[in-house]
Amino acid sequence: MGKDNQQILMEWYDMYYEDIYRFILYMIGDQQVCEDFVHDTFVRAYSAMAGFKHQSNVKTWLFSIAKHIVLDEIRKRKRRSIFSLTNVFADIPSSENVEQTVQNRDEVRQILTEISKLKPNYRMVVILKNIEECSTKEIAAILNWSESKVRKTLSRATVALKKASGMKGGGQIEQITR
Amino acid sequence: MSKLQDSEWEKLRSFVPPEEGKDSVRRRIWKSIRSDSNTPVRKNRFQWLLPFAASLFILIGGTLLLLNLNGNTVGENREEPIIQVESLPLSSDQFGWGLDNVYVEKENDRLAIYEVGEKVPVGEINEVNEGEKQEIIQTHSMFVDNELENFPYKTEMYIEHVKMEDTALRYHFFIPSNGKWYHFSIDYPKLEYADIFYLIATLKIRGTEPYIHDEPLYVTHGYDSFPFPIDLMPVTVDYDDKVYVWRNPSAEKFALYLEKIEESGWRRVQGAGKENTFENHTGIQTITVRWEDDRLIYHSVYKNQDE
Repeated sequence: MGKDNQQILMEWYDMYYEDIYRFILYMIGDQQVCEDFVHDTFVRAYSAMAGFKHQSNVKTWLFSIAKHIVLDEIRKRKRRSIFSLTNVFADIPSSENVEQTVQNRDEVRQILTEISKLKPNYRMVVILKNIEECSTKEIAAILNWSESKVRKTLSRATVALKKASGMKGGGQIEQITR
Repeated sequence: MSKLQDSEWEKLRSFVPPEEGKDSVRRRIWKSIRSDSNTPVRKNRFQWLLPFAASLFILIGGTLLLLNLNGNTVGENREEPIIQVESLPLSSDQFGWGLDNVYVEKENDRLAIYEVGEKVPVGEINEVNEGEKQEIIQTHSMFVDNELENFPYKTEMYIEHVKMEDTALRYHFFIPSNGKWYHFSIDYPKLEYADIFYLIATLKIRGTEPYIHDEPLYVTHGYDSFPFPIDLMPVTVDYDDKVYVWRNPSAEKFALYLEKIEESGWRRVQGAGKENTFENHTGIQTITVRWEDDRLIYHSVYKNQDE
């Protein structure tokens, strides 16, 4: 594998670092290991580049690699607290005033706590759909599911999240996840 | 908080990881993939082209007037050239440029752009109407949208992030043509950044005089913020070491180039004369630029990188 692939990999890193970082962070909830897993994702992608053709786009492919990494980690943490929220958003937004920042941080932590109550499959589809704004087709490619399974799982995850958030009625979640 | 409104999702979507962490992980990945690779240093496929440098200097030096990207204020207001060219079909002798190693071949309604010795085209030229242009822009993952100021022809540039193994970025250049647009798409790294920009900067369209700008022009490569002169020819290009032939070097141009680098947000931290080191706004990356005869040599370093 030559220099060109190394350069292409680093271009991908520049393009998708934030997406992959967010996905892993929201799945695991631990900012300290997040960077390790982002590293592992791109190194695995480099090792597998020769096999990457045109069946999926790069972002989808990278998400599918990151998915395996986070699911492995979740399995390892099975007997412990999966979602620790360690240091999440320690660096939250610099452009807002302190009061707003604190408020945002609290809200964000609350949302993450609610997401963390979902089982991993539900968590993945919710994050990919509502935060990473992937299409159903893209989610199906990432998770290696049928689109039908994605829709069903998303529907069930939405209900579960609605319960977790204490939300009454259909409301915004269903609009977002449609 | 008891409701999951779109605004809450938006907060999660808008979270941006710390830049320092990104640089740190980048260094680790780079180190990992380099140690993982036993590949010898990239073949210098440009070496054989070096003899052209002198001749290009002679041929182009007097007429190539360097043009500018990124809103450079060096240029003065100018009258936009009027493009008057033939309609379809495109012909292979309709376009010319200063790259001897890149040529076109007619393939149906398009012109395929080839690099000498390569079987796969590095790009293509076709003619599109406004609707087709908009469709191209809107249906591809375009991450950069710039107008190239002071180029030979009024040129709109878009950079598409391409999902292919052999292509990282696809540059789209649109040049107006009697109510239509000439559409150039050129793939990186099939063609190196410097060659892509040099092709466009030296473009000549049959029947239409190009605008010749009389000040140096600079471009950024890919998504980077570091400016490069437009008239470079790649010799060896690695991730952190790059050597280019500078087609038309002079002390005055080098001084202007150093000023341009600082104007672009890079702080000069060391050096004088022909070797200078600049630091980016995060203080993590430095790039040393050395002018050596007809070469510009770049060395990029990430601080605290374990060697």
